Amino acid sequence: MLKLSETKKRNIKSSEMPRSYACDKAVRMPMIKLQSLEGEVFEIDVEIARQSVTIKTMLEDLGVEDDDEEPVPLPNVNAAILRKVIAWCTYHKDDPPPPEDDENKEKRTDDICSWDAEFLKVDQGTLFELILAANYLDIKGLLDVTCKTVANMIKGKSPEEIRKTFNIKNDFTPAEEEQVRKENEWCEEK
Amino acid sequence: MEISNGIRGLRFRSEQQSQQNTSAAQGPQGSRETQLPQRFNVNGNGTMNVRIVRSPKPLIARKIRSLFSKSQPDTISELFADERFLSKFFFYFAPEERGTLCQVCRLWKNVLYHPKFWVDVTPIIVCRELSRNDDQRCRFYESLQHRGFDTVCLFGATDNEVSDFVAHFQTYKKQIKAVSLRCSNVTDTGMEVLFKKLPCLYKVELSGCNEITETGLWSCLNPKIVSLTISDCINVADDTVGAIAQLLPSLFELNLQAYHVTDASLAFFSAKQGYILSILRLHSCWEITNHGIVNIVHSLPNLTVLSMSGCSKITDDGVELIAENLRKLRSLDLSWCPRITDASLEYIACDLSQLEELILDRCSRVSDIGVGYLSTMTSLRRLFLRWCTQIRDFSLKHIYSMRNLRVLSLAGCTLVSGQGLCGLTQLHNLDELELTNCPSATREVCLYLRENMAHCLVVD
Repeated sequence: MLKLSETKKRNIKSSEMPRSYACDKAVRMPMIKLQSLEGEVFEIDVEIARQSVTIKTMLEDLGVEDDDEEPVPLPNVNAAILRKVIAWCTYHKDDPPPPEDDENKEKRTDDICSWDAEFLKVDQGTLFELILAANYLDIKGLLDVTCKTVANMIKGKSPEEIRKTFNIKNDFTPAEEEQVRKENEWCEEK
Repeated sequence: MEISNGIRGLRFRSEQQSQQNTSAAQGPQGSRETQLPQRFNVNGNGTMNVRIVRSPKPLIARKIRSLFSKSQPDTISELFADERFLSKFFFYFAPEERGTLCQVCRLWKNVLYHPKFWVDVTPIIVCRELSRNDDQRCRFYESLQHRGFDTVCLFGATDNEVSDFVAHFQTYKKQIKAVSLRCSNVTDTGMEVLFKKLPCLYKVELSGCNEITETGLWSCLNPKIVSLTISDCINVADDTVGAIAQLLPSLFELNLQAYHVTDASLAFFSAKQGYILSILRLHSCWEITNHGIVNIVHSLPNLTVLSMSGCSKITDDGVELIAENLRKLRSLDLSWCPRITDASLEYIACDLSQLEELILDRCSRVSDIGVGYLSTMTSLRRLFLRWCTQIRDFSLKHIYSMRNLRVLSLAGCTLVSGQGLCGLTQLHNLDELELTNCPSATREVCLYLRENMAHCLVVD
């Protein structure tokens, strides 16, 4: 509730600004408003928001004005997760754009930076929500680091444990299960 | 972009303010609608952009909804059942780990049974554990074909098992490009079947196959073979090298590990091979002497990789021949040649100007003077001095000036000091540093090195 009234105050201030001050504002970074599932509005720098390819595409397609009163609704993301996503994007705003993905190459999972590792020290539910949000908003860096964390989490687990983690039903017949197990009992990299 | 938008916004806001003052009495919905036609009138005269910068509420909401409502998974179960997401997610796992993932559910298995996940993976089929049941075996081989494997390793195979394997792969025989037979009792007959029925084979490894004879190799080897590895096969001797030299004109890589191969065999190589053969590794062929090197140097002038690891009879004279004649060498392995001294290193430093990798493990007579010669080589990227026990801090002082080094190993060098090791931080391009079994590579030293060489892997 506090957050909402704060943003309202800010809006009133900007429209009452004298013209000379408005000139300075013209050179400042434009902002964008994002609205979570519960209706809470977060105002952030457009440059930070553009790390989300979905938001970036929307801005380019719709030409949303920088002092638009209209917040962008994100019905799939709740406030707590949106807050965390914004925190991640703010920390990483000066990162170089991620390199073009080599689609068929194995990716390392042991190169998560220490800030990200601390950031992702959360319970499993939050981690899963973050990965969903990163996928929904198409934020490559965040999706990459959350996938690495989830991958590290399930490495070394048995198939049954993996099923439990993601709530996946085992649809193999016992014979099929045995067959697949036999088909994968070996491995060596070149 | 932002500045110009801001200035436009400035103009808008000033128009708006004047309009808002006039239409203050109307409700929010009403004021929006009246603003729209008024603003358009203003814009008609000016040099405004034609982009719709403010639309009525319903239109923008609809557009946003259409952009965001592309079918996206809502829950974690949906996400991990989404094929597109899974195809990217599975690349965060090494191939051994993907084997477990195949067993989770049918959807995961279907996504994973695609050749792109199994590139560069060799299945090792332990033949003794293969099912006796024909059907199961058939399905097992089918799953291998389905996943697009082009390299297979058969461990502990007999002739029957080789025939069985080849029979099952008949429809996909063009898929197999490389075969490896390890610790097998395959005889000449079995080998013949293998070579004849797999027409696209170009890379072969025979390791620990003691039933294979030289006659068998004479009849099997065909000109398509580009890479051949033979190790620990008791019947392999000089005649085999003769067969190789005669039958394999396109051979690019030869790895030979045989205790009975002598200098005479190396004379079999002719100018025919000399043009193409680039990689020659003679591991533990301890009958080879400097005379053998004369033969190598004479017929194979284009070698880029040469390994004489374990050829313990090689001396400095042999290395002098190598340095003077094999100018294209990129990698030279002289490990376990205890007769090599600093003189060899002088020859190497003088003549091998393209050398990138040098391995001198267990060359216990190499000392600081030798390393001093090496420090003049600007092309050197990888240097291995494992268990060169005479190396002291003076060598390290020479190494500090080798700024192009990427990989360095000082494992087992007992006489270097901690302070000397700390000076290695001057090697800014170092990616890997191995210090196992170095008594002076204490925890403090390693910590210091890791802190000051952030992108270098320090192994202790």
